[in-house]
Amino acid sequence: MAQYGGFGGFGGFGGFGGFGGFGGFGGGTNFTGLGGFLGAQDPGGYDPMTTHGLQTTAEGLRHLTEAGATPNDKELPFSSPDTLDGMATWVRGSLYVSEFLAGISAEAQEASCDAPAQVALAFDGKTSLTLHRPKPDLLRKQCAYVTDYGALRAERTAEITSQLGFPTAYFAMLLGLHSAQNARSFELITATQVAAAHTAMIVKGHLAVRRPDQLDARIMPMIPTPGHGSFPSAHATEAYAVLTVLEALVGAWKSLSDGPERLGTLRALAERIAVNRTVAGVHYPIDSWAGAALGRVVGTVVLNRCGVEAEATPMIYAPENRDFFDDDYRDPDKAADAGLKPDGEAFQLEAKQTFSWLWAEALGEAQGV
Amino acid sequence: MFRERPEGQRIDSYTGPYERWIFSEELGRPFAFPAIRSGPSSHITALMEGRGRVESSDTVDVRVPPLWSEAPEITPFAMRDLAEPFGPSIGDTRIARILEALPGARYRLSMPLADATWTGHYDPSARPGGWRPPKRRPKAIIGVIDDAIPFLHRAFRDRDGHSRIAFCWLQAARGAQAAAVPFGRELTNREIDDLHNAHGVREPAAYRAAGAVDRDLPELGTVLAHHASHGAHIMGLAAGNDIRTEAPHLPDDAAIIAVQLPNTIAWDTSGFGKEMMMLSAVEYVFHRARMIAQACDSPELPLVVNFSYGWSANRHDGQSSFERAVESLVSRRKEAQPLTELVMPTGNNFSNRMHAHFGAKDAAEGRHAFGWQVKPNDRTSSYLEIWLPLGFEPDGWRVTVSPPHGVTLSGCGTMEISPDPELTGGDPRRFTELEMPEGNIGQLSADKHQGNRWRVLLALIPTAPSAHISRRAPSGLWTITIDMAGTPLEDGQCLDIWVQRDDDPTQLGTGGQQSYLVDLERPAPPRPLDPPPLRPVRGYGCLNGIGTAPSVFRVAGYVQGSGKPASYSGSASLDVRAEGRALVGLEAPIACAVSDQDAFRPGIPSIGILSGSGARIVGTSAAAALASRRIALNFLRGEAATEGFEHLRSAERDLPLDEAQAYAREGQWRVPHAGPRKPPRAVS
Repeated sequence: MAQYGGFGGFGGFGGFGGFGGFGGFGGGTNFTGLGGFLGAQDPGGYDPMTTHGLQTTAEGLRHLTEAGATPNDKELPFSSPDTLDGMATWVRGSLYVSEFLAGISAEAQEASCDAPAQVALAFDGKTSLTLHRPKPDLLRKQCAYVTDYGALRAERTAEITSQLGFPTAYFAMLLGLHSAQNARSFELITATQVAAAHTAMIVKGHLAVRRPDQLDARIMPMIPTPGHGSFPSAHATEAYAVLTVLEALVGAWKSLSDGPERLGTLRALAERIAVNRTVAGVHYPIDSWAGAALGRVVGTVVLNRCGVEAEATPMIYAPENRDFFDDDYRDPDKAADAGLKPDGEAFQLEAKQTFSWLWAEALGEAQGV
Repeated sequence: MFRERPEGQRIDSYTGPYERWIFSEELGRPFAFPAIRSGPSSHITALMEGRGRVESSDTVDVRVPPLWSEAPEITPFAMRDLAEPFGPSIGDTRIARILEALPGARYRLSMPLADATWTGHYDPSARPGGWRPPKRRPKAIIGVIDDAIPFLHRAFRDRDGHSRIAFCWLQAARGAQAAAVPFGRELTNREIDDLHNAHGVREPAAYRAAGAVDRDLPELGTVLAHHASHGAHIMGLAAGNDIRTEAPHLPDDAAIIAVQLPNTIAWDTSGFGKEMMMLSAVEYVFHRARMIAQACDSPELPLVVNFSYGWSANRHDGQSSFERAVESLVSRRKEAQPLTELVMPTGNNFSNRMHAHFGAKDAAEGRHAFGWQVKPNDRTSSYLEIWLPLGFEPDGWRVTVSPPHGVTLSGCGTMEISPDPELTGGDPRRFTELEMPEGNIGQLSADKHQGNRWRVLLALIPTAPSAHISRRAPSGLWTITIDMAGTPLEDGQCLDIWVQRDDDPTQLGTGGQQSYLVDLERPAPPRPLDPPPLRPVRGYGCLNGIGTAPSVFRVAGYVQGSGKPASYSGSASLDVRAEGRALVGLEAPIACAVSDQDAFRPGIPSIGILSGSGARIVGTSAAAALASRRIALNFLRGEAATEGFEHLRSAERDLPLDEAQAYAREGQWRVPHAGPRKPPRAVS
């Protein structure tokens, strides 16, 4: 991910205002990092002519109101979700990021004689996923998969290059979403993607795993190698986080007569988005395993923050040399064989105000088909 | 230099020029396809020529695949080296030792097998596991031999959702503990249904579970993970019911038998190594068709087999090993069941300058020279074959190979066309190497093929540099001169030259570059849209080199929109005679079928690998598959193969030139084409 990384602005929210012009929220800008939130609904400044005209007009009309007093003494509700609807989208975007990241922590542990280097990711202090750092020998073996998958590049070029950023359009088209009818559903998808992207970067930052082409010159990716670590795959994290949230949303809508088929297709889409990155030559299959597990955690946390009942089962992933398939990921035995196992008691987290508002809004956009 | 092998390390039973080239490290082996280049393998396939039985010995475990023929002229078999099961990779000296252990006869080697494909316990008489005999006798059987067979595709299920595929042999899949095939995996209708029931619409998972996708076996690999394949497209047209095939519906009582060849069947540009797999496939389809008939207490059932594959060079007189074998198979089965056809395409090389036909009058002063343009950056070997007239003895003939301008060979580029007395056993033959300071860059040979027709073969290593190998062939215009003064050709006799196919199938990534012939007298090629002139370098005679057996139903391609032959569609040879007449070769197509919808919609549509996907393929393979489908529909009604086909002309081959040209490219029949339905006419 992060071909067009938006992390430059992350340190200062004030900076978002300068990025007007990305336009239509959910309309396919597809930038990663902050996604459609980047400047969404921020008007920026008017052009110089209009700015000058507004000044001369104000002077010209001022005599009509010169004698009046400031009339309005009604305040907006304090600390209330009722104000959210009136905010620019990018402002809500800041709130989602804040709510999500407020509870996150990551503990990195150096390799010892007993255990490999690992990162344990926790939400509200509850460890939810532990990822072991893959060893160089495993990465070398995984390069063989990456090389093999290269055979699919020619036929997947369009998908791969249009999924450099968030592949929102692919999810939207499977559910028949339109920005005029599903603005909040798109916002929920974007909030989930942004949460997933940030989480993946926290973990990647610790694990610092080289990309396939940095180990094996034969791979020669068809897209630029992203400027961050390989493991876990942020695309897989985002895709599986969105899948987790959309499974719950479609289930709550109870309005799609072919809901099970659509969800089955969504699962296959999440797998395909993850695998496309291996086809492109920028991810190992174990990155997809780790990303899928991380995405499931992120999606479940988002649902919890939305006030939706959903249990997160803590997992540990000690990667084995396996290819990635959604079917295997869902099969507990095969997942265990690949190194992904449950690791503790399931838990739930408390809801947050802005996410809860968003969920309620998205629920109101039920697709009746 | 070629290192002379001591007694016992030479393949004395028969070393054809391709065997010597492919298996010798100092010649073409480093550039052969991975199964040969990489090894190691203790398993290899071969053909035995001549009647008899090939038996196991203390050092060789021999397996003969299921055969329909009781006493075949050519027997395909596979063998395992028991003496050195984990020995070095297959090279010519090791093969010589293996062949030494086999009794008598003469053998032609084919490709090695991955050890993992070897069946644990092979019982050719066993009933294939899980096979569900048909409740009602099928009215016809369609056989499909191809790559990447999508056996789970919805197009091959009947109205009850059961597979119409009775048997499917994946020749390169991992072997079972016990099976009725000697190597690979055989799937039966019930097993295919079980896979479908277990995995539903998740076809990729089902293919993995079936062992049809296995990245550890390069000859199987992950081709079924692609969007489309040749095999899917062809099988959809020949035997599938799907909206994407735009073809008449096939009823449920059209059973299917499929064989998936190894992936690299299309790899080596010589065609070397495939015959055993191909012949095993045809025998298998015939054998299993008889099994279905016997289960229904029926004599042999109507059967059409589609084999959309071929290569460019070869004898083109129906007398190669594979062709003689299929001729015997098809003609004998027709005695038992007249409704039997083996359908093959004419090939796609009409416009590629890959064939030349030189007569006595073309040889000025008893010599004839022609050019061979070898392209740069070719990563595979290139091959050129010169065939002399049947039975002709070229006493005093000499062939000289001159490299492109500015290049000098350090070793011999000239050779007599005569037997080398040192090489006993097998066909009379002679070899020499083309050398440069870095090593051998080519092989020049002459062999009296099957003891009755001389062939000169020129093989060149790639022109692209290879890692760790310093030798490479110079690209450019090579000149081949044949000095025929010793025994001049008589009127009516001619030399036929073919260049082997050397293109680059995308899925294999061979890096091949197609070489072509140059008429040095008239070097300018015709303009693309001009009618092809009948010069010595010509498309006429450029036809599938394994499809010229008399009983094969050859299919050419035509453009639906114009009704004219497709520009690439392979053609029979023409022998131009006096007074503007010409004789069409015996290998003429039987029929033509649509291979392009029109100039701006090349190819025809069919299915992709996964249910619901589609693809479009250009070439006579698709035309052959359409013909197979029509023949199957005729057989289902108990009618002859060409019933309902448009009759273009009689079988008279001596015709005015323009009519002969049309016959050579179209055959006698035109296969009707359904095509997309026209929209209803508006009512005003």
